[in-house]
Amino acid sequence: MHDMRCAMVIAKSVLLEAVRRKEVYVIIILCCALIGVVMSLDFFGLHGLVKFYREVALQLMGISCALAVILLATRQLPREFEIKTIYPLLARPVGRLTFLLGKGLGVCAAAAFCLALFMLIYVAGILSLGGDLAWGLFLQHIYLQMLQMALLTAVCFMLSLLINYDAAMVIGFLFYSASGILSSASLVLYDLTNNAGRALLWLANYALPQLVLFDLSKKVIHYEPALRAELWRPLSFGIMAALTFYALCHTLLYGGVSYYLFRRRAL
Amino acid sequence: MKSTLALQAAAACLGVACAGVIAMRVDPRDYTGGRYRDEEQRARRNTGAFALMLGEFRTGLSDMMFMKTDRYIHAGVSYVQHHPVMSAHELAEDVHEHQDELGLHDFCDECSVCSAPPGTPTLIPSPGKDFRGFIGRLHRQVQPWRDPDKPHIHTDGRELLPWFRIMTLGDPGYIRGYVAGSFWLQLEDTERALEFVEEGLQHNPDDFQLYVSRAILRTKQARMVGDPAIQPLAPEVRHYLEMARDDYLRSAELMLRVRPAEVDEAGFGPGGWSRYHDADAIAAAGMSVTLSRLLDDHVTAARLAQRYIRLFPDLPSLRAALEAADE
Repeated sequence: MHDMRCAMVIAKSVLLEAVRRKEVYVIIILCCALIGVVMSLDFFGLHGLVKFYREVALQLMGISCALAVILLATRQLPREFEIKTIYPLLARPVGRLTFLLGKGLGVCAAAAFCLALFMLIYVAGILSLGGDLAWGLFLQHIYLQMLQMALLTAVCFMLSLLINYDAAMVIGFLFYSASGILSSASLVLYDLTNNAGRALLWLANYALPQLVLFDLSKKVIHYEPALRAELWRPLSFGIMAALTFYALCHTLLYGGVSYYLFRRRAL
Repeated sequence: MKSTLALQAAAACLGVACAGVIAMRVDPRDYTGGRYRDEEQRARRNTGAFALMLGEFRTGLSDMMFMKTDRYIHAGVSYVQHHPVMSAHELAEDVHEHQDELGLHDFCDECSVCSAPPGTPTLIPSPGKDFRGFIGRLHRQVQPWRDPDKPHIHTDGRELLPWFRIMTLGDPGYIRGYVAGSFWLQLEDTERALEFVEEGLQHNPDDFQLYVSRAILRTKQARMVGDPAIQPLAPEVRHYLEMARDDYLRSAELMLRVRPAEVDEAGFGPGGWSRYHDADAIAAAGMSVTLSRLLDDHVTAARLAQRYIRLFPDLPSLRAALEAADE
């Protein structure tokens, strides 16, 4: 109970720091400015192009949110070491696991804050265009995005304990942006490679988190009420549970590795 | 602290002002790069610093957007394909066959507007072909996926139009963007489609396919004001048909300059010439003769048929014009 309270205090401080440092706002403003510029183009005088807005907004918001998480998550531990604030914290009866958990929860809370702001803007945009929001799919999309952010946080913690801050941030972002490409590439390579290569691809498929599984944006973008019965229904409870389980497994795996590295780290 | 804030605010204002000035002065369509058939010109262009930095990227981006339009047509489902090779003329034929049918919930088995016929594999593989097991199953649930053997779902083309706008803004030499974009746009607004093709012609005045696109739109305008099958032609119908004939004729003459001497039966030839080009080449030659006859200009029709029959000896419209001239 005491550990949980400590973790919450640390999480709150991370969230407050994220809000105070204004990086989140800068990312949101830049993202909105980009969306505004794209939407201000004259598309042959046509109005109500909802799919285009959905695509531009969701993709940019997804990338921006991930960028905010990567920035925050990779900074947490190196910064604590750098400005030596970790020493008084760990001198108190705060375990390293509690400390790591608090940091992780804080980054996730900041991600939720960022995502919530984005989604409010997105909903306002959709309503102003007179489009259909597809609430079921949309809420599932938000939930899956949060799972993705938690997973990304664990991966970034691990990277920041393995390599220095700058390298961790770059690799974290590369991992995020290349995850989908790696997934598609493995499908192509599997038919072209030998048995050893196939075994490696199979292993990589399960060992590396497949971020594409948490991206429901394509269905949200292409949702049309007339097609709903045929194609884009919200995901079933079983699928959502499986995705949650998958995200939990990977978050625990990478979080566990982070904890192991953190424990071995000399203060 | 205050002075730092003031400095930051001043820098931000300066940045916004600079962005405004740049935005006012820069028109992406001023870019004249793109593709050249002439190897020497292409080599010269590709050694430029900007071409090295951006050239291929811009072209690649247009291609990526073009592929995205294919996904939009299929309600988000990605099929393994490729660059759809629909010529302006083939698209126009589809207007006749499918214009009334195109729309939401349009299931068709053999529609050439759709570049991927049923049976075309999807990018996310079917369960039997996916080595990923559990992850593959989740992937098919999360992403838009449809059994490749089922008929494709087609949406209307309205939502594709912003992509055609952006791809041609980014690369004004992207002919395919103008051709396909004007096709989808004319379903919404013929005048706007015409403006779009003319914008393409401004940047690519020697491209024969864009003249075919414009001729098709002129023909549609003629049909909108009257029936071209009724003789004598109404003055307005004649006016549009004359413009269409001139465009086909211009297109055919430009085509003669670029069509390689050796083109196989499938329409493919050296220098990147493909069925996509050849279908429009045939349309340009055939329609310039057909419309000349419709406009009662039989002398021109016979002269043109004589000129183009060397390239397309089996084209019925050319043979008919020659037979009529003989009689």
